[in-house]
Amino acid sequence: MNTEYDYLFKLLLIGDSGVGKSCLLLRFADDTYTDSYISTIGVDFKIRTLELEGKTVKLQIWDTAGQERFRTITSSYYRGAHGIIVVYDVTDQDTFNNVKTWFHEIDRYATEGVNKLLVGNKSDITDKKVVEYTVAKEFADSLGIPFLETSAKNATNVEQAFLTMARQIKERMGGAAENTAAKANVNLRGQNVSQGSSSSCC
Amino acid sequence: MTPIHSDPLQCEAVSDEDSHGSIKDTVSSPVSTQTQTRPAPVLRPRKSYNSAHTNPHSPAPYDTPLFSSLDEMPSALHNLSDESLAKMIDRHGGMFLVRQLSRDLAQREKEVVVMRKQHEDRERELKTMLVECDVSVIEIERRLSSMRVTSVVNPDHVINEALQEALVDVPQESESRSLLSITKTLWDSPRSARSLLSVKSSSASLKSFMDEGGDGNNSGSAVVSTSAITTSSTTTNTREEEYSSVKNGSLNNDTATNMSTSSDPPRSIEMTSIFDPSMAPPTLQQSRDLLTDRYGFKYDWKRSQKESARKPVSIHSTEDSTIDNTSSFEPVKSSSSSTSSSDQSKTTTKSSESKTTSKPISSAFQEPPSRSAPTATVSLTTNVNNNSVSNVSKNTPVKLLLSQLSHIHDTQQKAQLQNWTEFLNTLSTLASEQDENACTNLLGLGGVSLRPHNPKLYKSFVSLVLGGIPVKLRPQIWSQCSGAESITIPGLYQELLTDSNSSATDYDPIAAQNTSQIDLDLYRTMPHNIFFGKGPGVAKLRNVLVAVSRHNPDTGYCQGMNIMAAVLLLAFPTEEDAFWALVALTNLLPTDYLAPPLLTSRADQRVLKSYIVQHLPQINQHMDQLEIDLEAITFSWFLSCFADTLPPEVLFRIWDVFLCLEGMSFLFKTALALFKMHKSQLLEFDSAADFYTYIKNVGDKVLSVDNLIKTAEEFDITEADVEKRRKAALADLQ
Repeated sequence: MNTEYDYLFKLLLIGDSGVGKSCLLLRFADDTYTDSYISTIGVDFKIRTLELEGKTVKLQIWDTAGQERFRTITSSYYRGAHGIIVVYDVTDQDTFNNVKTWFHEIDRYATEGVNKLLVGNKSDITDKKVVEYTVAKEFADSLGIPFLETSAKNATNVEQAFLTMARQIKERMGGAAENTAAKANVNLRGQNVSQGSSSSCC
Repeated sequence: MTPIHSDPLQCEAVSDEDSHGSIKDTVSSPVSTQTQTRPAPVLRPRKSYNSAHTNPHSPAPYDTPLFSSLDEMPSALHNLSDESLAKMIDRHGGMFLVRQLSRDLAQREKEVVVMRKQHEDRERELKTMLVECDVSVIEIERRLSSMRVTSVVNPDHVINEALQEALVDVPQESESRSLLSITKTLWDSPRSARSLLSVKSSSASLKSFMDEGGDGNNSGSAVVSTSAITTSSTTTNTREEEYSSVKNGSLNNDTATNMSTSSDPPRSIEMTSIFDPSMAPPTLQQSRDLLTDRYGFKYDWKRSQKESARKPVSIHSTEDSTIDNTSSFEPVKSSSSSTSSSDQSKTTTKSSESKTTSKPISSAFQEPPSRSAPTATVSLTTNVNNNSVSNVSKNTPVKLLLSQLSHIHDTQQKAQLQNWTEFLNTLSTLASEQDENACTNLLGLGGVSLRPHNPKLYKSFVSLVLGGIPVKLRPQIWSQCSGAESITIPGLYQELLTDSNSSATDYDPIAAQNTSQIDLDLYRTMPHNIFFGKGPGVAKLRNVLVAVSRHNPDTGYCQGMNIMAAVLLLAFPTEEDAFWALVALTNLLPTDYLAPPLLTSRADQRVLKSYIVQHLPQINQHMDQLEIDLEAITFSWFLSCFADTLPPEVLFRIWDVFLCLEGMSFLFKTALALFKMHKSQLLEFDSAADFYTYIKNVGDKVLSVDNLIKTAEEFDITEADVEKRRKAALADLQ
């Protein structure tokens, strides 16, 4: 069985502490959710392979610690990223206010033209929602980036968020990236069996 | 009947249980002190209440002995002036007085015999109990004899001591035998003095007798000599009342004599003994209803059910699942490792530990976990399976596994404790032979003061630490060796916490940021442990973290501290001790290690890289090939001192060495050992993703903590060398 992938995209999750970055990733990579998640120290890492327009895309997703003092560490992961997802918490105005800072960080550290996505998480907690969809949408539009409200708990829009990101990167990179990405980053041979089995069991 | 009868009558009247209780306890209290087994004789006793809290109500005069000797007690008959004596003889008749006194003496004699009998019975019973607890007879006798030598009974001394003790705030209100309450009962409330006095010797008549008997203080002939037999009362009085009764000067004599009857409250109280057991960390609780291991980590039900459905014998499935994990993309959750896979590693860890308790590091080096299951696992697996055959109908396999784990844990703890107790006894013997501070102090990293004075003992200390500190002794040993004990400033912890209330006035944005980050992390710290998540430890965790962030404002709160604090809260009975241990732990790290912008801790990743280049060139080459960023893997290892990576029982062992022997350099050794022990697997991976996934979960794959420590110890890394390299790395980073 040949499950080699055609693309390898590196994604990065950033945003304030406690907005649910790790939970989003857990939902996307393992399709699970837990109320008792642990805080991320430094950076964390997960991968998921998916089919996109007939191509196999492997997403390598870096999850970062939200605490401010970790920014110097996490900023070193911006450079290699193809796409960056900025997450805020729809029930916490401050985390939305800080989104600007996070985009500033991207401008500062990431490669030019990196794909960006704004995500408002915890949309399931409707009674405590303080950041209106329209406000966030307006903000995202002003930057010209896509925006989604998600719930890691209900799995609402989580798949779409990552798919949106992957699709955009694929469009941007075009056919040219197909070979270079694979060549530059990974040795392909020999790993596919284990990879295939794992993704089927998850 | 005349008031002089009051005492013998007391004796007669007090034949109920209360009086005997009092007498018995009075006499036998030295015995109970003698026979108390203290596991760590060398360790300094915890702050005793005597020194820590002097009751504000107790007026200064009571701090000093009332009388320098028994003979000076004003009320003793022999102290009466001739005039008063003559008055008394006149009043009562010489014949009667002589008869009364000899009756008193006879009564006293009788009581003494009874007391001695009770005393002996009690000692015998306690000895039997000790023997049942595996304390050797020799040890008991040794302690008792040393006790006898030191406690030559000096009645004056006993009385003074009892007085001091009685004036001190006794934490247990239920200590109804406080002699002060006796006085109170005796003098102020005739009705409650039920067992004390005969009908005639009410307080009124006693007082009138004293008035008759002579002037003021010298009048208390009622006491005669039998006051030691005055009984206790079950009446509970408020402390204020008690003290007010003491303040009544004419009662001083009674107070003082009564003191001797109530040396009942323990001299010093172990901190652990006065805590609500439900608030104690799970490591210090011996029984619980939930399905957890000895460290309070919940067993993952869903997962175990899934596994038992897949495989006929669930124990085997746990074993297999770990191997599955190595190739699958397991969710990266090293700290939530309370799930079955970490249980599995605990299994093996403990079983291998139990095999090697006498020799801390097994000489038979076990190969790093490979495709074949390690021997330790196999032995346990069979062990459990044998058991499950007979019990399988009644017990779920999970319950069985957990009880087996607990059993193994307990057995191993027992053996460790024995070795440690021997060592500490040796230390205490040495301490008693020599000058107190000469060589027996464990204070300081690696028992600094021990090493130069007694290399042989130091060596056994080292091997004991490498073999693991028993859970019971860990708080004390960690406190002493990490320096926590020496940096402790009493009261500061509470001060740091109360600051929080007043800080509203001068708002500090950084402090507020720390606190809100702490609040975010509280429920994200060890959520799978019964003590945390929604358990009783969360409030403690918050306090410790807030205090730490205030104690060192430059560092504040850094993520990673939360897990370290949680680990310490699992080990230490009080949050204050855990706080100081956390402070001491961070002191072992470079000053700005956890402070923004985390430059030094980043530099250390480069230092580690240089060690990998030097010691594990193959792995280094492979990592370069796969473009692995070491920092992504190891940064959290160092920032949390492995608390984020290793399952608690492995971590506790690593911290034993880290806190008590080697400090920072051991973190590098451990990191290198983790790479080295999984070298063969790591070299097989040909994608960065697989490599990352494997090494991120490496904590769950530590099958033998003994091997890990042994491998770590093989690396020759000194603190000085680390510092040199760190300096270079820092210069490079800036």
